[in-house]
Amino acid sequence: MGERMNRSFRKGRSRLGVGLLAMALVAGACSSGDDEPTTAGGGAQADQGPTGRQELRVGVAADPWIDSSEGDKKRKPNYPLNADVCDTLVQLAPDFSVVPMATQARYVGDNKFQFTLVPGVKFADGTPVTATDLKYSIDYTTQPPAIGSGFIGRDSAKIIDDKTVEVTPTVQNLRLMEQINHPSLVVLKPGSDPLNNLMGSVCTGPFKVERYTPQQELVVVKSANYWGQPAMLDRITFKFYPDETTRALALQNNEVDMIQDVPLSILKSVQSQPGVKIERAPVGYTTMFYIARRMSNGTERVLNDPLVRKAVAHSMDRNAFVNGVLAGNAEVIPHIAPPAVLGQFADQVKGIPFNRAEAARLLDQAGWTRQGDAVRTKGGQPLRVKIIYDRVELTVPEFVQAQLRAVGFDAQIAQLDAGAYRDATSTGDYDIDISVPNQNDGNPAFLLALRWFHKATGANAKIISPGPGTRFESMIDAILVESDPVELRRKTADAMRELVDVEVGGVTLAGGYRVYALKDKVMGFQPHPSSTNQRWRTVYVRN
Amino acid sequence: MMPVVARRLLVLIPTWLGLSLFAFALSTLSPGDPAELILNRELNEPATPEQLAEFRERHGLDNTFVVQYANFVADSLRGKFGVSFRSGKSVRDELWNRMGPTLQIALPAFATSVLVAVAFGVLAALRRNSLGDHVSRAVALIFESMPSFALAYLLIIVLAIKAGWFPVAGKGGPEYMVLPVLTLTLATLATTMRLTRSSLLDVLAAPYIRTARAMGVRSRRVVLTLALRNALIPVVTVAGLILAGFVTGTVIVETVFAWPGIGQYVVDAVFARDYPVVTGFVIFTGTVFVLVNLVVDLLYTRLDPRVRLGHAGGNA
Repeated sequence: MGERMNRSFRKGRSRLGVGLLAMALVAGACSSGDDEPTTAGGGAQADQGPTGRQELRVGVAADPWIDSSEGDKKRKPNYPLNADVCDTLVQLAPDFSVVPMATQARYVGDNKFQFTLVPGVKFADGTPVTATDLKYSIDYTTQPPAIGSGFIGRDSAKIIDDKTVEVTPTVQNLRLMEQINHPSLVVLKPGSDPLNNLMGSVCTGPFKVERYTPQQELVVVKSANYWGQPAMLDRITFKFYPDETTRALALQNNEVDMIQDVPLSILKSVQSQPGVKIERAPVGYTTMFYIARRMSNGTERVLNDPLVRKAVAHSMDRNAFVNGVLAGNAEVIPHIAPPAVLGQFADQVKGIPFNRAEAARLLDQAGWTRQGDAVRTKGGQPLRVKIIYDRVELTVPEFVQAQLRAVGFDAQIAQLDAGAYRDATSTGDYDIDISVPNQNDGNPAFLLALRWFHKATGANAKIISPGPGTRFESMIDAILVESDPVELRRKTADAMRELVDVEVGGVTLAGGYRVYALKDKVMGFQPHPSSTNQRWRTVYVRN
Repeated sequence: MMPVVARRLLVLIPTWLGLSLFAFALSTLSPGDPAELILNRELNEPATPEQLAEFRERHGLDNTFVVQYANFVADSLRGKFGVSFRSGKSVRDELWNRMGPTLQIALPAFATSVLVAVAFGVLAALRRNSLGDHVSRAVALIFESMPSFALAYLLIIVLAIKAGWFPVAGKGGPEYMVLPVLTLTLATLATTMRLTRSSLLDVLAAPYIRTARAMGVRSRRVVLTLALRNALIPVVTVAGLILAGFVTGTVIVETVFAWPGIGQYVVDAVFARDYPVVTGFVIFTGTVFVLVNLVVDLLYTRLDPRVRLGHAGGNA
C-alpha cells in the first residue's frame, strides 16, 4: 500500500510538476527580471573562453551516500556521483574503449595485469604517486567493508617496481582491464579513507573536496597541483535535490547552472526555459526486460516456451515506445547494452522486430488460442504473465502490459518494494523483469556475464535460471579469457545475438540518452554515456 | 495535578506496548530476509548459509518471535533501536541527527499555524458572516484542500521564481526556512481556524456568557478571558495532533524543499526494508504522539478546571 501510495504521489506530483513548471515559465516570461537571453544555444554572444572567476553549480538528485552501505560510502566522491576528484587507473572513453588515465595497463599473461604510472602523476598535495600508493589504492577496495568487484582479492596487488603494480584477479578473468576503469577503484594516497575521513583523503584528480554537507551539497575546488591539463572551473557545487521538479525550478531560478538527469516528464518544460540548452549523451543504458523461464524451485513458467518468448519480443512496438514513452530521447536498438561496446560488430545483433501478426501466429502455434479480443487460453488456463520492474517509471511497465494485451496476454503488473522485488528476482517469481542496466565500464560482456552466466559472482549477480543454455555459457567462458580487444567484441556480439535473437532471454525496448539541462553560459560540457564516468575538467562558464 | 499525570502515564503504558507490538510484528512478519539483504550488500556477493546463520544469531533473528519482541521492548525502553541494516549506524543516533532539521521547520510552522489560525478564528467568530469571515475561511480551505506538494510548488513559483524573495530549495540561512514553514502552516491553517471559530461561537452563545454581558463585563474581557479559554479546548486537541505530525516528519515537504529531515530518511528505510529504522521510527512516532496527548490532557486541566476536579474526584 505504501509503495502504491508513494508511486501515486510521485506520478501525480510528476504530472502536476509539468503543469506547475509550465506556469512558472509563463510567470518567468512575463517578468522583467534578469533572465538570461532567450537565444537558443547561446549563439548570440561570442565565446571568449573562460574568463574571471569560474564557478559552476550543478543540481543533482538526492545525496547518494547518505543512507548507503559502508562499502558505497567508501566510493565518495567518485560513485555514483563523480565529482572528478580522483583519477582511475585507466578510464572509460565515451566510445566505451579503455584508455590510460593515471596508468598504462597491459596484460602480461597468466591472468596477470600490470599498471604502470604515466609520467608526472602526483597527488593534490603535490607529492608524486608511486607503486606503493597504487597498491594501497587497490588494497583499500578489498578491505572490509569491501567495494565490490568480486574479482580483486586482498593478495591481488603486487609491487613490481617504483612505477608498476601487478594485479592478479582472484579468478581467471581477462576482462579486468575493462572492469577496473569503474570509478570504484581510484588512486588514493596511503592513509586516505573516504569512508571515515573524506576531507583527509587525498587523490590525484583535477579537483579536490572543499566540503561535503550530507543531504545538502558537495563542493569541490580546482586542484593547483593537478598533474594533467588543469580544470577550467575554480569551484563546482553539487547541490542535492531529491525532487526532480524542484531541481528544474532551481535551474529556472538561477540557483544552479545545470541539472543532471532531467526527467522526461518535465523535459519539454525545462527545454522551453529561456536561456537553457539541452545536451544528451550517446546511448549509455538500455530499457529492457529479462525473461524468467523457470523458478528456483523448478516450476516452469509460461515463457519457458521459446515460441511464447519470441511472440513477446515480436509484440513490442519499439518505435511507439521511443517516441511516446521516452519522448524521442532514446533510439531503437536490439542490443541489451549500448551498441558502441560491440564496435564494428554491433550489426551482428538483429533483434526481433515488431510484428504483431507474427506474434499472434506464434502464440497460436504454441497452442494459446484466442476468441476475439479475449485473453488467450490453453487447456482452460489463461496466458498470464507477471511483470515486475526496477528503477523505471510506471509508464514503462504499463507500455509493456499494453503491448502484451494487444496480442492476447493477461499481463499483470506487480508493484513491489525493494525487498519484495529482490525476493521475486531471487526465486524467479516473475515472467518479465523490466530494468535499465547501465554500461559503466568497458567490458562489453558485463551484463551477459552478470545476469545469464551461471559462474557470475557479486552482489548484483542475479542469475536468471535456467539461462540461455550451454552454448551461451561456453561463449561467455571464451569471452572471459579473450585477450584481443577486437576478437573480444566479436565474441561478445556473437553471445548477445545468441541471447537476443536465438534464445530470447532478454528483450530491449530502447537505448536511452542521458539528458542534461544547462544554462547557455555553461560551455565545454561533454556528456558521457556513463554518468558515473562523467568528468568536469573541460567545463567552464562564460562570464 | 500529580495524580492526573500519574493516571495518564499509567494509561500510556498499554498504549505504548500495543504500539511496539504492532511495529515489531509489522517489520518481522513482512516478507523478505533482512539477513540476506544486508549480507549481500556488505559482502558484495551472495552470502553463504553459514554467513547467514551467523548474522541471524548475532542479531537475534534466530530467536522465537516472543523472545525477539521481549528483547526489542527491553532495548527500546533503554532508547536502543538497534543499528540500521543499510548504514550500520545506531538508529537512535540517526533519528536524533535528523530531528534537528525537522524541528527547525516544524516548531515555527506549528507556532505560526496555531497563532494565525486562532487569531483569524476569533476574528471570524466575532464578525460572523461578514465578508472577512467568508473570505478568510475560503482562502484557508483552499490551502488546506491542496495536496501539500502542490502547495509547495505553488509557493515556490509565486514567492521564489516570480517574486524572487526566497530560494527555491535547500538548507542554508533563515530565508531557506520560509517556504517550507509557510507550506506547513498554510496546509494546516483551515482546520484550526474553523474549529476556533465554531467553538468560540458555541461558547459565546452559552448562558454564562450572556450572563456576563448582562452584568456589564466588557466585551473584550468576555471574549478573551471567559469565552476563548473554553473555546480552545478542542483547538488544543487538534493543535497537539498537528504538532505531533510535524515533529514526526513531513516527508513531502522535506522532499520538495530538499530539507534534510527525518521524513525522507524513514521513507527510504521503508522501501529498503531497513527494519530497525522502521520500527525505531514507529516507536519514536508513537512516543511523541503519546507525550503530546499527555501535554494536551494537562492543558485541558488548565483550561477547564472541571476536568481536573473530575479526575481528582473520580467522577468525571
